[in-house]
Amino acid sequence: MEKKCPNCGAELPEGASFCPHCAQSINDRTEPVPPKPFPRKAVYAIIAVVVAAAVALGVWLMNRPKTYEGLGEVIYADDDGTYQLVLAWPSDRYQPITEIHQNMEEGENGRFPIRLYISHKDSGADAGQLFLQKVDSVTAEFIQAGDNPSPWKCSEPAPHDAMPDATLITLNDFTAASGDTEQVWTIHMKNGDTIRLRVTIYVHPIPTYHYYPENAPMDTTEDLQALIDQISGTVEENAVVYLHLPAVTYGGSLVIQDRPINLCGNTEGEGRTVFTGSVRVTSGGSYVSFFDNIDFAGSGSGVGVSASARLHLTNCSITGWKTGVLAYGYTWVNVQTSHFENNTVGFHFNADGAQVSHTLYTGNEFVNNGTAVLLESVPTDVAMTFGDCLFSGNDIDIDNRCGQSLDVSGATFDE
Amino acid sequence: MFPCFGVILIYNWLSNILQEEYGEVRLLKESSRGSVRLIRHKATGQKFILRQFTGNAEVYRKLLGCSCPNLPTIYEVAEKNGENLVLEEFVEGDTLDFLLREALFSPEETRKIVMQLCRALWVLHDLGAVHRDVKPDNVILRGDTAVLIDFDAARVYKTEQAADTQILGTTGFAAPEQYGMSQSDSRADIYSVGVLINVMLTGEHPSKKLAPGHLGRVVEHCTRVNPAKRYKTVLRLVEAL
Repeated sequence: MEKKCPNCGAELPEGASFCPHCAQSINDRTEPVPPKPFPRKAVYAIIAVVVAAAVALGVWLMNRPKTYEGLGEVIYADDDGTYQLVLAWPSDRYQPITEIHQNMEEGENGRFPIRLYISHKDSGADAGQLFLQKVDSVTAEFIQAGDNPSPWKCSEPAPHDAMPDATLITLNDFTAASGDTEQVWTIHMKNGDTIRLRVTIYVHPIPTYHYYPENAPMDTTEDLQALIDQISGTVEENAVVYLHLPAVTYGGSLVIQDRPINLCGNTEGEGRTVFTGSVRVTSGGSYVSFFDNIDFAGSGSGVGVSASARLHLTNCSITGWKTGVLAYGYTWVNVQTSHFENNTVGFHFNADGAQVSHTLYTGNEFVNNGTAVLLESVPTDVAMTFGDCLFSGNDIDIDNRCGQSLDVSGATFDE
Repeated sequence: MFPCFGVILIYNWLSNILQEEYGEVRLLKESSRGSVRLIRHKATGQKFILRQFTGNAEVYRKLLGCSCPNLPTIYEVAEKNGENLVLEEFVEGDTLDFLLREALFSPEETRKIVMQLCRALWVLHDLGAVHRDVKPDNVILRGDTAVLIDFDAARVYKTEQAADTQILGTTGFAAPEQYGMSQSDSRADIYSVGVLINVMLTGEHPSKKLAPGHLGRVVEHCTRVNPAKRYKTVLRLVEAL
């Protein structure tokens, strides 16, 4: 371990830095150079830029578009004020609904509206029109599986003449097979904010029971009345009951009370199901009884069918009564594709109430009646539509005593 | 010829050659810690400083690989059983102390010289060393170049050391913490540079007469009692200059 001095050639220990013989330094040296001090002004400038950037970021975070989410309700505030946006029933426009429950019969189609109300938070005054001016677009959609066999459908949110208090509504179509879902309203504001309102919807399938002559006694009016009374006492209230009647003629009167019952006349072979006595429907509640393919044949007096509960008649024949069909009390009655003949009054509407099913009276024939249609009190402003109706040989076709709005443009009047 | 060259053998080898090929010119200092001698290479007539002392020679060893025009060159460092041998460049020129007896320095001259001393101190501080004895006697002007000499008191400082109890440095130029107030670090040298600037401009300690103008403010910033209030590093001091 030795080395030679590069200057004089003397032998030196390996670790030597200096040759003492020729007095020369022999090791490598480096000159340390102090770093250029970073100019203070540049440091301050950088700090200023960083601070300005932080402030700008803060301002942006404060003012960037925001998203508001709510179940049934969102409170939204801007420079002009604070607004309450709620999905609500018309009975209380400030009370948000978070859940909607719909009962639905198998195989039937259902439709119901969902209403958006917008109010000033403090005063409660309607702010719908004012608020819509700030809105860029509104959409509504259902959250549901892509393979839903009966998918929920909803209309674009829009104002609706029949619900003027609501700012916007959706009309929602479903069946019992549609299943539970969630409707999401997305409101895009012109300022970039987004509001999402959600409501959960549950579908409860309605149990349905069918009774046939083969398995239930219904050959006579007495049997039928006993069966109806028995059903009223045993079958759950929200179930739908169908009685499939044989082609027999029932004498005497029948009363349907306590619950709605659907009567289906015979459609197999030639024979019809006939009632020669009055049928009275007095069941309360909001459910509708449906009578289909039945002949009500009177003998010049009495009332063929009287209803103080909701009733729909289709494909029926009402003949030979003082009054063929009478709607009275708190109810709504529809008649379609039915035949009225030789009655003093064919169809007499004299009821109150708000449970309008629909205003279609289409496809009916009114032949040789004293007064075909007598309108004494009809609980809607919406026009009753007599499309595809035939009025023939009546003394008076329509005696419109309550001044009901009518649409007879599709009707035929023969003298 | 050299069967084994350990550190000890370099010490022995160097001692032998110094005795044979060099002659003592003058004993400069002697104390219980060691001695400083001016020696001369007989063959070339070159003069060197030879330090012999007990203690830590870390700063010298680190300076072996450095060349800084504002510090004397360290040529060789050897150690045996705690005894150190350091061969160092003999810097010829007048000390500031000598020059100050004739006249004071102008602010521009002061600035130029102090900038160079700061460079020397930066090298020391960068190596983790503190000079601890910055004063006019230890600054030599070789032409335009100022050289900071005499590391006799220089030691590597350890951060978080409780306190230096030994009183080091030269009264008046030493920072308060060097009198045992707290551990001395590189900011003690900054204090001393502050006093030096003031003495170069006024001939007085700043506590007696503070230099006027910008340099006076620099002196004030250098000599604050609380080291934390002084310039943090010599680079900051250079910037202020």
